[in-house]
Amino acid sequence: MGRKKLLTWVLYSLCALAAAAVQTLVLSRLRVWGVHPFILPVTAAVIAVFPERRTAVAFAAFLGFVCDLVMPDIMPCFYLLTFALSALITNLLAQRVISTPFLCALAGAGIALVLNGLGHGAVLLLLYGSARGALLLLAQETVLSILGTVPLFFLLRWVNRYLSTV
Amino acid sequence: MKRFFTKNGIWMLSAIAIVAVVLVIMAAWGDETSFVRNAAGVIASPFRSAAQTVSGWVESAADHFQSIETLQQENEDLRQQVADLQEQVRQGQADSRENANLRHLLQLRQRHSDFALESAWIVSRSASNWESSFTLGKGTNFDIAIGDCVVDPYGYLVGVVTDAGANWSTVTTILDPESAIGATVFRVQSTAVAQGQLSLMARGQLTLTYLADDESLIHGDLAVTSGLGGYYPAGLPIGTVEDVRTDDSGLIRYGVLTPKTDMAALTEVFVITDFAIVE
Repeated sequence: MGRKKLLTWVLYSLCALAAAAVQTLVLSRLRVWGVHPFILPVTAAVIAVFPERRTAVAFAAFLGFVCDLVMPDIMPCFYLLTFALSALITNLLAQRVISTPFLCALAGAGIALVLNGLGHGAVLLLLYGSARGALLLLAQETVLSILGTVPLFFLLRWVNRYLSTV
Repeated sequence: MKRFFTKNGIWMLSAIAIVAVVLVIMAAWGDETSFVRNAAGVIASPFRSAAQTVSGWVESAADHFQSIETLQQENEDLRQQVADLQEQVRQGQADSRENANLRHLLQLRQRHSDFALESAWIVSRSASNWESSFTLGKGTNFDIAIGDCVVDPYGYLVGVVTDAGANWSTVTTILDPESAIGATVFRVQSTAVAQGQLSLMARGQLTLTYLADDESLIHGDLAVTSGLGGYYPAGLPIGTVEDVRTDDSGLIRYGVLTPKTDMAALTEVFVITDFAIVE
């Protein structure tokens, strides 16, 4: 692994760690409509706006893997799969569809949150048939969490500008 | 587009998906916690503990800003509550003596419940809005097993252990949509099921379902665990009835329960690792 690649991973990990700290210490206690913002999927998507595809998907998968370790969810590797998929889609959007990075980050964050919500909602729907509650929660979580795109985008843009000078 | 799907990311995602499917199959094989998951939990334990320590510092710093007036008011309320409880204890002692005498007359065994409790600190909470669970810093090394009930320091039901590793265990709270526990409405002694619901979880409430048609619940009715089947101990307070509603079909009534315990404020809980109840 080259020095620049190593530095990229270290800096992205530090950004993800900062997002996780904000999530745990602040956002998890901040409840609107009984729901708190969930910015970890947003982090995986926003990171994917900048680097080449392989790094984007690999880092998102790594972040998802760590999330699966720390907070086991409805199925093993749930976050690993959803984060990697959302990073792949976001990177595709960034390179082929949306040329403005910030808009792409917003779109990617939306996709990541919807994937996360649909994954949970689908399981709950299959088990308990609670479609209305699931859709309401999905909408509330997406609206609240997508606001996290703004600080994350500018943080990661700064990181990537620094990396381009190395 | 074809080049995109054949070149980079899709292969990585496919590999990840295969690994995930293998892990899902491994997890589905048995009810016990898999080796992989146990190992993952053990590796994650120090990170969870570290995060909880930092979180604790932030919380204690925030507590310093709580106003003196609020604390004085709370102190006044608690004094009043203590006086009320002392009165209830005096009445309870008299009732207990009378009950013991009557049981003796009827030659019934003394009613009692014995719990083997294991205290544990909450080391992390799920950040997801789609579930209500947290992780404890103790696991099978301390006889904690899947299916054990978890109560708060006042004995109110918090949830059930749904996953356990060597030095960690996951507790799914009674608010979680996947949680369902046999309940008894204390006043009328009728059975029901205390079940989490997605739309109520955000408000910190759960439902009381499978009510009898002629059941008349009133605001404030206490629901406790029924203990039917012997999986969970009977008599653990779950919550009080806040409201009685009818579902969308207009045919099924259900109660809305507010738990006796404040899930967000919990830091330490007690796991009932063994119990014996004589009715």
